[in-house]
Amino acid sequence: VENVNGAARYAEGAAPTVLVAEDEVFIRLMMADELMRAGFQVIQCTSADEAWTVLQSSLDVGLVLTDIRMAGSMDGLELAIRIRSNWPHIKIVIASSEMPRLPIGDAFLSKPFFPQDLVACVEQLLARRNAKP
Amino acid sequence: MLNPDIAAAVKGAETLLVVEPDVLVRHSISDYLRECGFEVIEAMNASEALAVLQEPTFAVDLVLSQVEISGPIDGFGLAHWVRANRPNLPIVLVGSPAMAAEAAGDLCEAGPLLAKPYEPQVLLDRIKRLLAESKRARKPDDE
Repeated sequence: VENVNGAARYAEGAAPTVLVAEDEVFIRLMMADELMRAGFQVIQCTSADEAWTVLQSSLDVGLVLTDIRMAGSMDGLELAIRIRSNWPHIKIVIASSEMPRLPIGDAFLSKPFFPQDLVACVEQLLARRNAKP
Repeated sequence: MLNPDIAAAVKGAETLLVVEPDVLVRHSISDYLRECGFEVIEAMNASEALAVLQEPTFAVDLVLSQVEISGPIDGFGLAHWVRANRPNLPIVLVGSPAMAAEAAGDLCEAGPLLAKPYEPQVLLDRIKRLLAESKRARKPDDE
C-alpha cells in the first residue's frame, strides 16, 4: 500500500531526492528501501565524504539524512554544517544513536527508529519545503 | 525514462547486487538498472557485498562488481568467493582495460571483463543473458 501511495504522490520524475549517508550497510539499505517504497528518489552514500561529492555534482538533492559517526575526513555534523553554509534550502535530518553535540539540522531521529517514523519525518520536511508561503 | 520494451523484457524483479566504490557511478548505474525493472542492492566494497551475500534475507540473483575496489578484497577476490560459495550465482566484473583482463580468466561467467566505459544496453543484455542461463542451470534442482 505504501508503495502504491508513494508512487502516486508525485508526478513522474518529480519525486524529491533524498540523500542517505550511513556507513552501516544494513541500516542504509533499510532506510533507502523504505524511502524508495514511499516514492522518493534515493542516493545512497556510505560516508559524509561521498555525500559531499554528490552534493557538489549536478544531482538535485532536497533532503540529506545523515548518521553522525562515519569514517572519513568529516563526520555527519561537519557535513550538516557545510550544507547549511552552502545550500541552506536543503533539509537535514540527523539520524544517530547519540544526540548531536550541536543544534544543527531540521530534525533528529534517535536510533533505533521505526521505518514509518523515518518516512513521516522526511515527508513532513519536504512538504514544508515545497509549501508556498 | 524507462523504455517500455526493456521493461517488458525483464520478467519479475530479479535482485542485482551492484558493487562500485565511486558513489556517482554506483548511483547512476543502479538508477538505470532500477528503471529497467530490477531490484538493486548497492554496496561500496567487497566487505559490504559479502555481508549482503551472507544475509539470508537478501536473495541476490546476480552480482555486478567493479574490479578495483578498496579494502582487503577486490573484485577478483569477491568473484573467487562467489565461485567457491555460491557457484550458481552469476557475477559480472567491470574494469578498465588497464586491468589485467586475463587475470579475470575463468572467474567471470561470460568473458573476462566488461570494459569501462561500457554501453548501458550492453550491460543490460549481458545481465539478462546471465540471469536466463542461471535460471536454466537451476531448473533441474527445482524440479
